[in-house]
Amino acid sequence: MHNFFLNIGRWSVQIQSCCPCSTTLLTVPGIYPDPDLSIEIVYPDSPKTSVSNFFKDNGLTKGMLLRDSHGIRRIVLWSDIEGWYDDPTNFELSMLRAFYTLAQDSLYRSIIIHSCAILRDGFAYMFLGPSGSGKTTVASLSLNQGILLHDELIILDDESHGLSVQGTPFHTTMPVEIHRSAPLRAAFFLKHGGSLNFQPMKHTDVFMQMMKQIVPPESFDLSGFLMDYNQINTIMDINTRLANTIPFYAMEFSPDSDFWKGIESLA
Amino acid sequence: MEISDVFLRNEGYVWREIDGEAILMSPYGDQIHALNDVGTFIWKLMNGYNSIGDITDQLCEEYEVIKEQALSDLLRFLERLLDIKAIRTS
Repeated sequence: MHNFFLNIGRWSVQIQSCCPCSTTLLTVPGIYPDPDLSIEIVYPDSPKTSVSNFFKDNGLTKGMLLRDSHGIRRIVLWSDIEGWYDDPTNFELSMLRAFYTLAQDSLYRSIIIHSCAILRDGFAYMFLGPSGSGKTTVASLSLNQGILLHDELIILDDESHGLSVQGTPFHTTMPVEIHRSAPLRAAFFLKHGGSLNFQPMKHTDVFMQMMKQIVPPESFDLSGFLMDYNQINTIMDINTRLANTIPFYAMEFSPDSDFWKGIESLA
Repeated sequence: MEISDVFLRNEGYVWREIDGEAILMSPYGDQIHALNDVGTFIWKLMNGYNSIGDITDQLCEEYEVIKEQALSDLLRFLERLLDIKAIRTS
């Protein structure tokens, strides 16, 4: 049995597989006893189902969520594809599922957002937008100006003292520090432009645009993969708090603009 | 629809109000709808007690419009909410 360990936000996750996993897909910081969550992948010769859905299309035939007497949860996934981990999408699907399982049952309310996040002077800044809008450019330009939490997917935590951001272990080629977190100070929806420009956004526009950037939870019930009532409530609560308390700007920039000076001038 | 009909918000729809505008998310989270201030005003009145007639009267008072216009706009809005299953008859 092969064991792999990684952190998703503040939780430690153990993955057990009878097949070796490509280490380029995993961030393996070390060995952690007593993981918060354990995932076991069971390969071919397992029972197959005739259900056709998103999970089966990605090679997973069944999923199960278990609790033991110590409260540590275990996820068992059956795959009918040998070497399931060779495909980054399958691995990341498993990580996504693991994160939302942990987030739902813990004291913390958290969601995953499609965003770049930079930690600078003790605060986190989010940079959002569709593919091609400039998140990777912002990340590259910020490497000597701050700490890159992640260039694509981050965790937003809704805590009593405010909203904070941390990195995720999802695959990236950029040098990230996924275990760091910081209070969120401001966020920017990116747009390519000629000169640096910041336009404050209305709360309702923020809310609607953010709903497109929130990565929805993955369900373990293979009969359906849509969110349940509690999950929707959590997402709506966090997004409401985000829209009402964090300054958001539409940011137009060009790769040669010193946007961090511009951001500092907004304070 | 009759003037005495009473509608209720569908409990499966989760909604929040941001700066006076209601944003609705459908059950299972596959659709999201934003209502303007008038739509939000109506949405909040659909608590299972206010009839179409009651809501029309309140619209006339709040927005200073004539009754026929208010009723016509309200009925069109209710049809839309029924289409997306955001409301049901009480």
